[in-house]
Amino acid sequence: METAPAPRPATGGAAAAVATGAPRVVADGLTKDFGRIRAVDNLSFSVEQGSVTGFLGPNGAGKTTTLRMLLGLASPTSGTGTIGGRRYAELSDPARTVGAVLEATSFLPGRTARNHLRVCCAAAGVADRRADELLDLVGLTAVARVPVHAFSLGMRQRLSLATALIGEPRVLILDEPANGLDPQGMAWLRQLMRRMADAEGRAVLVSSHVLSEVEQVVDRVVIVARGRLLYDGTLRDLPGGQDGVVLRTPAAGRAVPALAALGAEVTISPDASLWITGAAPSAVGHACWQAGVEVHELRAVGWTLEQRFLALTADPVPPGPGR
Amino acid sequence: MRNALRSEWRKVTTTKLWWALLLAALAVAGVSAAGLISSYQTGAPPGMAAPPDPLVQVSTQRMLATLGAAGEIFALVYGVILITTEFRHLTARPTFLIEPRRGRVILAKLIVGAGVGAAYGIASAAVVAGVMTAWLAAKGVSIGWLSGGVLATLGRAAIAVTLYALLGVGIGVLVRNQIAAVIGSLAFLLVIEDVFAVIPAVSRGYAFLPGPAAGALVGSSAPPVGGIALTSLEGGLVFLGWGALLAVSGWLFTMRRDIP
Repeated sequence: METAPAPRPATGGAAAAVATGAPRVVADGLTKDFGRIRAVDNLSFSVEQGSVTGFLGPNGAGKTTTLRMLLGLASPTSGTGTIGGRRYAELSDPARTVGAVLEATSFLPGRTARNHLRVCCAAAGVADRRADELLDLVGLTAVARVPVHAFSLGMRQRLSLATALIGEPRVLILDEPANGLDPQGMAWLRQLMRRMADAEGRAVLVSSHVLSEVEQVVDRVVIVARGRLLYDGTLRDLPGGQDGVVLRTPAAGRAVPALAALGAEVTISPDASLWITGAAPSAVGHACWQAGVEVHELRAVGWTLEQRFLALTADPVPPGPGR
Repeated sequence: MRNALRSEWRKVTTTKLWWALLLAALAVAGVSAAGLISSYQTGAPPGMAAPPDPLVQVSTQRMLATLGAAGEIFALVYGVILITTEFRHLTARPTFLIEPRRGRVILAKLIVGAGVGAAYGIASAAVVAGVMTAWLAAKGVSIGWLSGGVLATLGRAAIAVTLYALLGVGIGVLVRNQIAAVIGSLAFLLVIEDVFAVIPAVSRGYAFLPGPAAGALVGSSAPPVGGIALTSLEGGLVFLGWGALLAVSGWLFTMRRDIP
């Protein structure tokens, strides 16, 4: 958990990527006002073929609104969202270009899973047997003829995903797909996203408000809060706070002046340990030894990804690193 | 467009609502026809000559035939639900993700709504025809199907039911909120129109309201005294115009709005 997983090569299987040629998803200055509230504020980013891009931010950051604008369900106050250079409504074959899972699941409660997919197959002009293939793919074959109102949240998520995959789209846009999925379901989904990006060269944009859900799978992240872009890059380069040293000692009163003499900054944590920045662990240990301070614990602490993410998106004072 | 139509038709056949509302429409048509026939049961007081049975007259038979449209409200409600359910259950999302050209979806819904309405209309007319045939045959009364215009009236009743379903879709395009659309349209047709009929300033134009226009189409309603009377064809066109007006204004004002 200390460091980001190494980003996978963006277009690993170059041949496959070229063959499929997923169109780029581009948000260009997207802005959306709801009355006097600006939900999305001049947001620009892009999603490349053969990569999984995480779209991260706390609840209410404007993620879903941004995705709805990209998908043509909501019109931007200003700016444009395009897929392969075209707005969603102008796509010649939307179901084969983009598949989307939106946060709240949308099914008629009395309709069965299979019938739901068959309705969508008909609309997309896809053969009906695709419905059964998809039910099999997402593991819902056993409940294919059960009305959706009997489905758990996780089953609905799977059905949403099946709906998104109807036209074998080259771009996949998933809004909080982890909600309601059990750990196995989430692992399966990660594999699916990776396979779509690596082996099939598709572009995947996946949103989440929990970094740990997607950190193992994303190549890049776009982080937003309060409708604004905060970071666009790899997780490894995500800016964090200063690394520091934790010191636990029964003689804090003598340790503090000795450490201050090193030029280090020392704060006393609520659990009575000392949090030291501006000095290496070896320097802290040496100073303690010289001052005759008894040491119970001495350890270097780096910011975890989660802490860096929280610090970046926090409002307004970033938390210090945990222990 | 073929894909949109197939999808919309599948939406209809994969739910039970159409069936429930159809049964209600048929029940209303059948029961009101039977009720009207039985209201003509004439018992003559002893010792006096029985008055002529009104059921023998083709005008009475035509009035019975207009009851083929008695369940029209259910066709309207079905039309409203056909479209508002997409917003109530958020199925509008997959619908418009797969077919972002919203006008096509609306058109497909209008066509499918008309198809369902026609099925309601034909079935209702058939039920009324069945009740009439059985009952009047038992009384030995012959029906002027062709000569008396009874069949034509049943046909117009079926058309009226079809148009009611279309009007419902038009209402749903304009008003996305299912409860508001259903309650609002029922309140208008069952209460507010009758209020218009008794306000002198506007009662002259009463015939141009949707309900009376449909009544003129079927031949079941008379305009208020001194009001304008529409022919059957005019009534049908006026009623169709209401559906078109609602659908077009919905397309202009509502359909371009964000999908929730």
